[in-house]
Amino acid sequence: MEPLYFALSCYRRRNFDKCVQVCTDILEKQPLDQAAWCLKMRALTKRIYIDDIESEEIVVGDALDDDTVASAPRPGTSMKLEAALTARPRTSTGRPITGINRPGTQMRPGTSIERLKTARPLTGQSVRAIRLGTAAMYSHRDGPFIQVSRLNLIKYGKDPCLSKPLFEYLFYHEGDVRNAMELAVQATQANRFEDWWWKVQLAKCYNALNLVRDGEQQLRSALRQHTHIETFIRLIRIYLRLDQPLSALEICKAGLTTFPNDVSISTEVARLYEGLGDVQLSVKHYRNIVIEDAMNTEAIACIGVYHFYSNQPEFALRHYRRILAMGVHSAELYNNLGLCCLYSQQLDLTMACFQRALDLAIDPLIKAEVWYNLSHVAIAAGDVELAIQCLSICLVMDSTHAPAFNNLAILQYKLGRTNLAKAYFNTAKNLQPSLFEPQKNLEYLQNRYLNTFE
Amino acid sequence: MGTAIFEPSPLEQLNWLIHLQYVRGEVTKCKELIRRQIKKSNGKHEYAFFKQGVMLREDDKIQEALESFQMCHRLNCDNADNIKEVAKCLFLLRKYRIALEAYLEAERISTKPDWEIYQNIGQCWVSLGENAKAKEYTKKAVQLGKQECSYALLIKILISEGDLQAAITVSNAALEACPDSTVMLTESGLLHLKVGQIQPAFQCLSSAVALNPSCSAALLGIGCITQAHEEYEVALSKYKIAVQINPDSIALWNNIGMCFFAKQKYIAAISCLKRALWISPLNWKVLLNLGLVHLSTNQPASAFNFLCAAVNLRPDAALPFLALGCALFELKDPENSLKAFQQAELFSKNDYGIMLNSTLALLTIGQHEQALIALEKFKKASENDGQLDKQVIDFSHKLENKLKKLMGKNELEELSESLLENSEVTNTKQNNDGEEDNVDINKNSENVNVRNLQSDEV
Repeated sequence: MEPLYFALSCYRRRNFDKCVQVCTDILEKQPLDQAAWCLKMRALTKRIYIDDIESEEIVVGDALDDDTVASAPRPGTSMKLEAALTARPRTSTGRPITGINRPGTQMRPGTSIERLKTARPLTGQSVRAIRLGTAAMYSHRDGPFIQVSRLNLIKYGKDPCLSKPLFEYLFYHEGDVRNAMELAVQATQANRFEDWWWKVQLAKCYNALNLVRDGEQQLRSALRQHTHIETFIRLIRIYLRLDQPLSALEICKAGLTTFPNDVSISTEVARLYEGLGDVQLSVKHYRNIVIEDAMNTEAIACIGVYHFYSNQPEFALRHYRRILAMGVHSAELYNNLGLCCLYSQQLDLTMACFQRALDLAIDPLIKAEVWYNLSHVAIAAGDVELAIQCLSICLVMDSTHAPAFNNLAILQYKLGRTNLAKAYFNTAKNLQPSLFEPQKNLEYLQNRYLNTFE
Repeated sequence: MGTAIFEPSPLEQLNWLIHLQYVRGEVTKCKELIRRQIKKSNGKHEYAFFKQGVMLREDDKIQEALESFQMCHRLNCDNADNIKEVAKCLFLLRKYRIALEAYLEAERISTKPDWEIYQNIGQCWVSLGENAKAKEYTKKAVQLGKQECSYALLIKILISEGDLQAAITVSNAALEACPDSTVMLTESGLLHLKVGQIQPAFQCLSSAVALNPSCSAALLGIGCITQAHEEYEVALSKYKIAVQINPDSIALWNNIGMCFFAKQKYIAAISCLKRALWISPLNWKVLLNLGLVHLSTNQPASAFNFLCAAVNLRPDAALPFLALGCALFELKDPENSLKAFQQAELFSKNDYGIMLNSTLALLTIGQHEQALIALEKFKKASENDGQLDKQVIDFSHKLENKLKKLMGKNELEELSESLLENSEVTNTKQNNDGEEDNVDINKNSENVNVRNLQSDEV
């Protein structure tokens, strides 16, 4: 078989390693074969390609913005909120809990800059992208495939066939944003500023280099030439990074007029409203998404959470069962099912669900959450001792769990151990200063001489 | 030729300006002026230090304010005001023992009796847990000053001693001194309510609501009174206003739930009570009420769960055990229900419901002699009671007849039939009981549990 044809066939069958091997063989014989070179680049890129729209962690207010005038945002115009959602708990980073784990809502300790306050320089590029770049470099037998520093970027920028694969190779495989940007600049010039694709790529580079405003300009100009969902979403992300949710909403609306009922843009809208604390509107959009795409786990899970926190655990249970029926099998899901069962009084199923959640949980943080929720099961049965044991196990798994410390303190106070309770409240307060319960409870304990009559 | 006589300008020359700038709220200017004055006087300017302390305290820098006031005190030991401020700072820093000593010193220095000092001494003693001494000083403060805050403190002390009657007298006196204070009106109304004087309680609370239509505690009290008079619509309308102001109140949601229950809207009742339980999962009263509602909707298994939790959380009250017994009885477990009734009897004094219920349970098990003894006990206890509930009397007669028949013939079929009927009667009775008991004002907002529904990673 013709080697290039074989390589193409491998590429189409997503057998990228084989494809790369064949291309390498061709290139050893004919080092200047452009077709093989291009195919090898694409195969290498495809091998490690990830959807970088979802991978980016948006740290609110991360951008180094010199144009700031007011120190505090006007109400309703910022995502850094002290929202009035009292019934819903928040994560340890202060964001309201949602139905699904997204890069922005995860509570991995140490990712958020406000929490850790390290000297780590701010990068706009996601950690994952950097890691991929380094991993790819070690996977070669004899040196790198392309010597990036020796590339003539101006020449390749003019070549319409090679420039795009080369750019993606540089951006995704090498992780070399600066050279990728150089290439993008050359290519845009060569196309006389008329190719929207290059503008989006340029914006990606700007974004990675934390030049957010330049990225915004590129994306807007790209949108004028061609409306594309990806462009809309990238622009929305940029406004979120700048902490301008209202502008982001406007872009969403514009996007939805061009692409009515589009799932990914609707998801953005729903997330935005959720972040702004308007749960009703958020759920409305999630419902629209479910009508469009009945298999959308994020939407179903978020609706489920909404029902759970508005005192309708039966409805929540129905949504989670749908997710279960779709084949998801995880500790979190069983945990949520267990909670719904508990509050809708299907006690026989509660323990079974939590048992499964514990069996499936590997991460100690998740195990800790499950044990924390199990303490609520014990409280619902009025068994204070068991609840204390559950909370202790939770703290063994995750010693920074502030709500667990708070609840432990309340239970100890109920058993009459006031000093222990005080110590626990103080620990909870120190672990998570944004939590107001330990603070209030501590005040109550300190003024307890005035409140002895109950 | 006149020689210029060198006369130093008096220290107090610019005191008026300091005061004026402070009053106008020109804080930065005022601070600057104070700094200059202190420098000029080599740190001997008492008034400047005083005002500095006041401003620092307003900025929540209590430690620095304390130092400033201490400077004042060092400059002028005879001024009671200085030491009063020092003591106040110490109190704010929660150093009650030292604050108390400072106030006692102030009392010694001050030439005329000062209600503020007495009141603060009282406050310090309360914080140190010495109620008797606190009461003495607070009484002095009340006599001297007739201030609302001293009255409030005295009432608090009296309540913590359990002397409600005295507290009511004080609150009445307080109302004469300050007739338009909503806080005091509410406090007084709630006190009357606790003692059971409905009429004056209602008056106090309605005038409180008239003065401040959004006073949720007073609204709760009024709702409570109307609910006890079985005017559920009125009570609900009051609660609806109150719940908008204070959506996290356990007592409000509990009472709303019980109103719905009385109107036989069981679903609404359950959801309201569940919200109360959500806010405070350790509240045995809410659990008891939930159990009662489930009992009357014929869901004894759910009722059993709630009542079990209630019993676990409060193992020394009769009512949860009684309800638990009923639930067990419904679940066809008369042996254990008998145990629950006996436990309830231990904690209660001559509760007819419990006595009759245990008789019924004994009957069902088949221990007729024991049942007869229990019935006799009931008769003896209820002999002298003129206000027996008609339901109770009917029920006791029924029981007696059944017992006599059984002793004679042992008719099993009839027995099981009539038992169902009887147990239903007991249930409705219990429910009334429970409701009255639980329309209770519960003001501490202590148990705020954080609940976490975990995010779902898919």
